[in-house]
Amino acid sequence: MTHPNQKILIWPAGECNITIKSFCSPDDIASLSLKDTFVESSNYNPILSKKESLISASLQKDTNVTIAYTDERKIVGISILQYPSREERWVKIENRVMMEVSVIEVATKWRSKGISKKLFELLFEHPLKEYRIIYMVGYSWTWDVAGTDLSIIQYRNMLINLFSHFKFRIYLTNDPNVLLCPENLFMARIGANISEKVQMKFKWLRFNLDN
Amino acid sequence: MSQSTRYPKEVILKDHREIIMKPFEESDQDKLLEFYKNLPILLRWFLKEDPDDAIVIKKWIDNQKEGKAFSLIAFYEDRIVAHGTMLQRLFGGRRHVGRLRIMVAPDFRRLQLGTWMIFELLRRGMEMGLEKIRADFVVGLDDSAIEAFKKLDFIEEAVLRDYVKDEKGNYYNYKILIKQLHKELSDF
Repeated sequence: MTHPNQKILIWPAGECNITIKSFCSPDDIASLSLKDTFVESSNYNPILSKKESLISASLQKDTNVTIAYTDERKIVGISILQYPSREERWVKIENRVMMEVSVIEVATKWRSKGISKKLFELLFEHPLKEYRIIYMVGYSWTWDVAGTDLSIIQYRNMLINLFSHFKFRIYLTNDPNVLLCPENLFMARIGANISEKVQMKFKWLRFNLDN
Repeated sequence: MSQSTRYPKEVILKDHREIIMKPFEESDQDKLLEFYKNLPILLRWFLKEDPDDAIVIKKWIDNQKEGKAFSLIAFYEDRIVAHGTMLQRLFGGRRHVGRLRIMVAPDFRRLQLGTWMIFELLRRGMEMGLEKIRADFVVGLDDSAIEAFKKLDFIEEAVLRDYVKDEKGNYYNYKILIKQLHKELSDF
């Protein structure tokens, strides 16, 4: 069944049009292919290489799986907004306030065509956007800088630019994984309807403290 | 890139005090001067310049304007409690080497504030295109800072014996630590 908030956008990316669809259902995902674009053509390990993982994510409550695909139904971009897993510190803020941009990935050949920005436009058209703190964690060792002219820090700046366009800000956290490398990144967007009390909890939780 | 995406940044210290970090600006001069004036002489006699002097602080501002330095300050309420700088030469064979200097108020030491400042300045060093970061210490006075820097992969490169001398005529060894910054990850 189609999600009531599903949006579809046609984006001219070079020689062909790309369809970008939000709140993809398991049926939507099942009809698409990751094989040529993500599995067989990559010289790196994509975060997601199995459709089952996407289908599983799409079945979770409030999760937005937004996918970019070609007319041949080949997936060229994936983004996922979902609740963090139970072992993450962020679940300590009750009522599922925190949501994570857990995946943003565009297939190698399709980069620099504005697809990630379009993916985000639909990813963040979420009915709960102003009632959630949406965050992202960037681990520099997962960034696919090979094949670009970018250094790690330039790639980081590119991510900061991309996310700040959607009103994300850099926040410090003592999350040990983030602290492993100075290049790592933690950004968040605090929804307009987040109370002062919850904002305070978020601040303290970033340093693993209870207030 | 917009500075508002990056600063100010909040840090909650181990003792639950909240710190705001932001780049040093001209309007902060008086407060920075006050910070250094309040530091015990024991913590600043070995510096190359006297930060107790308004002319020195003004020179730091000028260095920043000329792109030779990036300075970060940490506020607790209305008071500056730490100051860090990444210095860069704009000419010559040491352009790729940054010099990192951090000073933390005595009542804010051992709370990881210095570590947060180092992290911020290292990132800035990477953006400045630096390849190595140098930090100098007086042995016997800066021992806890030396340990903190080593935990962040600074390597001891040299010890200059009896290199600095205090007002009483005591000599101290001077230690130089270097951190290599990497533009890319290894293929391993």
